[in-house]
Amino acid sequence: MGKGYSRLSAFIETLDIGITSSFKFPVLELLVAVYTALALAMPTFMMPTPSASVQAKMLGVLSGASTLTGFVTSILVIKTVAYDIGVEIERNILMNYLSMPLKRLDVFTARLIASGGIPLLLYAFSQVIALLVKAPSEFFSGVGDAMIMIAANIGPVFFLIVLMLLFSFVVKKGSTALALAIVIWFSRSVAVGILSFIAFFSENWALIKLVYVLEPAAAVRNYYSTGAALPGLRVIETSFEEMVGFLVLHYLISVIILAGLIYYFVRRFEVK
Amino acid sequence: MRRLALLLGRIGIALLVSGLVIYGLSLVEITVSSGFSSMSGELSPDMAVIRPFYALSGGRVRVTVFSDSQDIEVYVLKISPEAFRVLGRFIENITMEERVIDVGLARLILNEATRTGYVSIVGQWRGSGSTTVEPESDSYYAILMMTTSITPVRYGVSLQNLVAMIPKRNAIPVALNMVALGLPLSLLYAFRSKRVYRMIAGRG
Repeated sequence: MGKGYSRLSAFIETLDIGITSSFKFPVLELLVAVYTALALAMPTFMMPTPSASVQAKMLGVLSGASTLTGFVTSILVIKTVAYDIGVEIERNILMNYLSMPLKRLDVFTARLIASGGIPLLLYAFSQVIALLVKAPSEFFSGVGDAMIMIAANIGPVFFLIVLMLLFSFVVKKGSTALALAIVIWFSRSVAVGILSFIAFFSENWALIKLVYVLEPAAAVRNYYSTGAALPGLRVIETSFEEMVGFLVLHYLISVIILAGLIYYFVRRFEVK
Repeated sequence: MRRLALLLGRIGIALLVSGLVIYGLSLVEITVSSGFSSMSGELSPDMAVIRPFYALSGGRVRVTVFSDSQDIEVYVLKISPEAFRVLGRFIENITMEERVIDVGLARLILNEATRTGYVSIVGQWRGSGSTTVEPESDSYYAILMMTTSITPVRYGVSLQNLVAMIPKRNAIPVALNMVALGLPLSLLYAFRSKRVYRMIAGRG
């Protein structure tokens, strides 16, 4: 009991406060309903063929399921991470968390899970539900492949969470962080689109690699499907190792930035 | 511990709500078009056109043929996998694409349809028409067209793949599992929430 127990209790309390402040009852519960409905309502666009692989069918289902939920998650993350945490720093609310008998790392983790982890979980949950309802046999026969596809879809959202957190710590103002987050995120989406377009015409492997690192779902689509969703990115076939490599590299970038943020929060972060 | 119970309770309510949404959506039978394929061409008297296609169980494929001539004969055939393999011996490199074949071979396929159970006619008409196939298991089909006219006739074919927005047979077990898991967890929230407690005790 004693020290370990109280630290865990304090962590759970911080986590619960964080979740309740970002998602008051029953906002989270309603969001789950919305995510489920959006993931299931989008049809899977593909003509059935006898040669269509299990993975291609799952890819079709996930592609439909992530169309609207991906957009909603981006908006949610911009609000819960960039704005909420920015406001907490701006108004010195974060001081309350730091005054608890908790290590700074625990405060950071609890706040990160509450603001970024919940939208990320909602997004992953909606994708699993879509697979369970629309392609259950394919899902159970290729769980590993399904996990790779889901990881590739949620990777950019994880990157967005880390980026928003960075903005909040740099700007230290909710509204400015929110505006900056919107601009940067949509610029990134446009940049990926333009890069894909240039990569298609130039057939430049280095450029395609860059697109795959920024958007690992494109590499996954290239590997698993017979027709790439991003046009032209089948110019060069990717192997399984390359596809996993792009995915790992994508997460590695996010993890490195996150590690830097944790170091800054634990060692350098000063409340006003 | 109260905080943990509240968190688990909220997860339970989320699962419960999600299960109910899935169940509710599965009750609404909405069919959506998930794919479309079309072709057109000219059919000469000594030739026939065959266009194989594949349909998945639980889905529907609507076959529509347009023609300005009543001389065009259209057959929609259900072909067993064995018969499809045999067909591959007569029609080189048979795929899901349209192929022009000899009219004699087309008649042979039709005779086979009436003689054995390997090929069955599921739709038949002259000129323009439409039919929908709903296989119980994943199956091969083919549209076979030939003309009785001495002059070439023009035709157009469209294949529309229709699927249930939410397959009921898959959705209901998922929904039931989520409700079964979410219900006991959500009770944790009910018993631990002060608001709910006050409501039950009549003091809120």
